[in-house]
Amino acid sequence: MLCENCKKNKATTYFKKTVNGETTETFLCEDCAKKLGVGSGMMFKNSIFDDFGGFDFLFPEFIKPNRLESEKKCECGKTFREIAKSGLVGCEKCYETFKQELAPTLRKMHGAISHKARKDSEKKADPKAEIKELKDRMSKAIKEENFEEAARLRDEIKAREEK
Amino acid sequence: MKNAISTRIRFARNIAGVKFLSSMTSEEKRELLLRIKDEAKKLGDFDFIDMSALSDIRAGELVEKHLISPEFAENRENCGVLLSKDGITSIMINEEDHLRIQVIMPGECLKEALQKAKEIEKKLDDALSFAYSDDLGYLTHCPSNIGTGMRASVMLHLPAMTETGAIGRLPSVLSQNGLTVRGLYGEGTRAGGAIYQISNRVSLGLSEEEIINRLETMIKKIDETETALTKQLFENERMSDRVSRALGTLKYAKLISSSEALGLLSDVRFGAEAGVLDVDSNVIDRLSYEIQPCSMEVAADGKNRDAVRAEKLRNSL
Repeated sequence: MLCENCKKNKATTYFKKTVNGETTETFLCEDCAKKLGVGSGMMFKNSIFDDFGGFDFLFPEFIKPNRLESEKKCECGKTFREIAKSGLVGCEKCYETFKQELAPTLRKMHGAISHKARKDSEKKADPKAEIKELKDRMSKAIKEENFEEAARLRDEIKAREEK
Repeated sequence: MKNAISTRIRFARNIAGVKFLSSMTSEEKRELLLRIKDEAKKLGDFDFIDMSALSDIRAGELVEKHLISPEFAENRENCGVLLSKDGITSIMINEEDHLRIQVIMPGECLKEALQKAKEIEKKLDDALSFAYSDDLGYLTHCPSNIGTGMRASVMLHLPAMTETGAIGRLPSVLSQNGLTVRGLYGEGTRAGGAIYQISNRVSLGLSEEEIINRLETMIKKIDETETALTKQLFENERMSDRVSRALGTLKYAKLISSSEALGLLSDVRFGAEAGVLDVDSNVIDRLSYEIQPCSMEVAADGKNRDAVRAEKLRNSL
């Protein structure tokens, strides 16, 4: 079996990780294992503020080349390659722009891809504002001739207004 | 809980409609800094510190007190921090996210700290409106913080688990529960003070309360293990000899380095946890950061740091 990272050398290191009940397995060659810090106590970092332990080493091993080669750009100017390299997205819209590209990353990191809303629903927005936002999105969809999305939004607005 | 030193809750937040920091120019960052500062100051009794105007030593002192992160102290341009007068709340502006809201309290008090952090976060959200999506929760600069944007952690003193090597099994157990452990001052060594931080690794897919509950359950188990191992270790007289000698050195030394002092303070705290030494753990915890290099440099005010440190320890123990 070949190393999943460099795809050149024979894989000699097996790495298994369980986050939130989701198990992932990785096969790496000795060099890549060393390079990525697998099995060298990467859980331990020096600072209590170092919140991203394990993140930087996670990126290279699971980003498939096709995701990295995508020409897509977010309106902030970031490509997915830049995001993968720095580990940071450029703006809040990147999460929408690169939704598909980011999904495996989120799954690997959190064992989940969507947020569990706060039970006390502190974040519940004003329904009028929500409907206004939906209407704005619908007009935008019509302008972009995205009629499927516009129709979906129209139905959603209708359902909310009837509530 | 005898082994708990402090509890920290941190929320990563960004303002809706404003690009994240890596996409911003210096001017935009400066503008944002002032905007957040003005809004936050309305909320309570905060002291604002302009990080770019702060000396390295003063910045280091804030890191030693755990009020700001080491990364934040390194890159201070266009950064600021708001500190509450009671020393519990700090709001870092332009760290990795636009805001990092942190509450740090002594002992294990996850629920209380969460409550406090939520109150402040809510007020700031009302004033600034944070980036949020129903699908992904709070949107953060780094995807590792998305969802709740919360990092909850408890700092534990685990000398018995360090001594016996049991600490080595912690990472895998914690990882299965979406949690993680880090050594605070170097790994697994006695000189490092045997201080560890247990925190959540996962911030998406679980509510704040669920994360806290998992953390509480795990910390309770760790505490039980530590207590049982401590009892076993102290059946050997050499252990009480070691911790008593540590106290003796701290009480009588004339010159002492910060790393020696940290190791000895850890031993003394160990003795207190085992019931062998009659020393208040809170005093030890306070000393553990007060005797560190930057804080000491400020206190020594030009005098010999090691001598001032030794004097402080002699007078406090």
